[in-house]
Amino acid sequence: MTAPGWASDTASLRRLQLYLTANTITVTVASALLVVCRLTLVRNGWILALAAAVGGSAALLAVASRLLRRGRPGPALSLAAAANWVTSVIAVAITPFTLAPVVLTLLLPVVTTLPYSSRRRMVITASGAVISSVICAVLARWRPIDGPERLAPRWLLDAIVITFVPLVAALAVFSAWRTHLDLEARAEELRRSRARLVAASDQARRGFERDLHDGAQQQLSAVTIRLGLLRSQLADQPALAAAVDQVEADLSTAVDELRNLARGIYPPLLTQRGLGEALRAAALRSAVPVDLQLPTAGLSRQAPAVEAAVYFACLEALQNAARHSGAARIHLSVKEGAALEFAVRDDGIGFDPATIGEGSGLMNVADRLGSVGGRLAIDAAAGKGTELRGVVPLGG
Amino acid sequence: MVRLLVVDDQPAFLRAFADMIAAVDGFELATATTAAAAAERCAEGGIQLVLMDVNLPDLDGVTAARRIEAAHPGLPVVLVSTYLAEDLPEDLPTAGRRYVEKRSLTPRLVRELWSELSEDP
Repeated sequence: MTAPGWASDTASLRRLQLYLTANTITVTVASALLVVCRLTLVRNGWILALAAAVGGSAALLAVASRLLRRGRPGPALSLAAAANWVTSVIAVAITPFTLAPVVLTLLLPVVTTLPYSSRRRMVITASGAVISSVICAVLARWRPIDGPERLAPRWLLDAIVITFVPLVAALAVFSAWRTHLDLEARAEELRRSRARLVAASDQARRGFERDLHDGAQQQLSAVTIRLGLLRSQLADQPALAAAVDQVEADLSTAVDELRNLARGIYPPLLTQRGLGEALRAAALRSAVPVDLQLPTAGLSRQAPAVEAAVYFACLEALQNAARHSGAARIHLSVKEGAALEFAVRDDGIGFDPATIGEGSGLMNVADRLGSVGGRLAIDAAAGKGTELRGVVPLGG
Repeated sequence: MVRLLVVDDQPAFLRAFADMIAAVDGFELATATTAAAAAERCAEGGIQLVLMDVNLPDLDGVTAARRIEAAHPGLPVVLVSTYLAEDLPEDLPTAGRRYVEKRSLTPRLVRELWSELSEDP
């Protein structure tokens, strides 16, 4: 069971586990080195106090590591961050010269846990780091405990600062880089997941269209043929013949409506013959005349998701132009190169793109294009017509 | 007697069409449900007119029609389906091929088709 707001994927948890283990080992070694230091170079009681504080921090980190292994990343990282704050403040209070590496250390929990934190925990972690930094800075200037630093040889202080500042800075940069890679991977996974959803939805749409075509439409065609046969045998019964004619007319309307429904769900031409043929048919059906400009050599077949994204984008533009724009003419062009590019321009009344809301047709079009790595641009203004342009990279 | 071959994998349509042809004087019906079965039936000889669905389980109707016409010059093949002509690929009508929507098939239309196509050179 993972707390809400925390990453549950195994790779992220393994990385956090590694971070906590490395931290525990480092802090334990530091505690031991402090004891050695007390015994050899700096004979001052505060050094032992610092060693105890660092040792306590190592123990807290070990507990945090255990919590993480038990599937409780939230409390684990909160505990690790708290250990970091307290130890940092004690370290700077006893040895003010360590301010620079310690403040850098305070940034580590922030950059390390960034991709795994909920907003609330991130605020707590960041606030803890800032408050601890302020306390450390004040203590470094105030120097409440005077002694250990004056007793230590100068070369030791220089060595500690020169070694740890770049080391901790490198760790912080490394953590930020890992965070960047994590976020990039998540963005890519989201795009893929959106593409899978659209592909599954399109597959279902194709299935509905096939079912309607192979089922209801075929049955209704058979009924129409039988009615025609019946009608041909009623030449001498005009009243019955008229009734059959009426049934035929009603049935014909039902067949037309069913066919329009099936075509709207997923045009069969798009599946069978690709984007060019499907757009040609859509342009012919458009209520507003369409100048269709396709490559002379035709459009090559693309992945179904790409063809569907461009087709439904163009269809939405054609339907919007017919319903809302009052346009007299629409120009639709598709170009194919390294990317598939389309543009639908009308000479209608235009609109304010800022009025496009969630769930609108154009928003769906943009989402669908985004799912195949494409993007949509809308160039429209009241009274100046509308142009929809889209591009989908090919060969990816 | 004109021997008419209908190629379609939809049983409801085949039954309705068979009943209709039974009521038309001078026509005799043969049926096939795949392009391969249609090619075999044509190879046996005697078929004078073919009505072929655009979508067949083993091959698209346009290709199947081309193959039959190539193997049997002069044998007319008419494509049928429930789609509107505007929903069909552009090269279908431009190939000079006859296309009929299934619901338009009446005894009169079948007779007209035969009369028109049997006169073609």
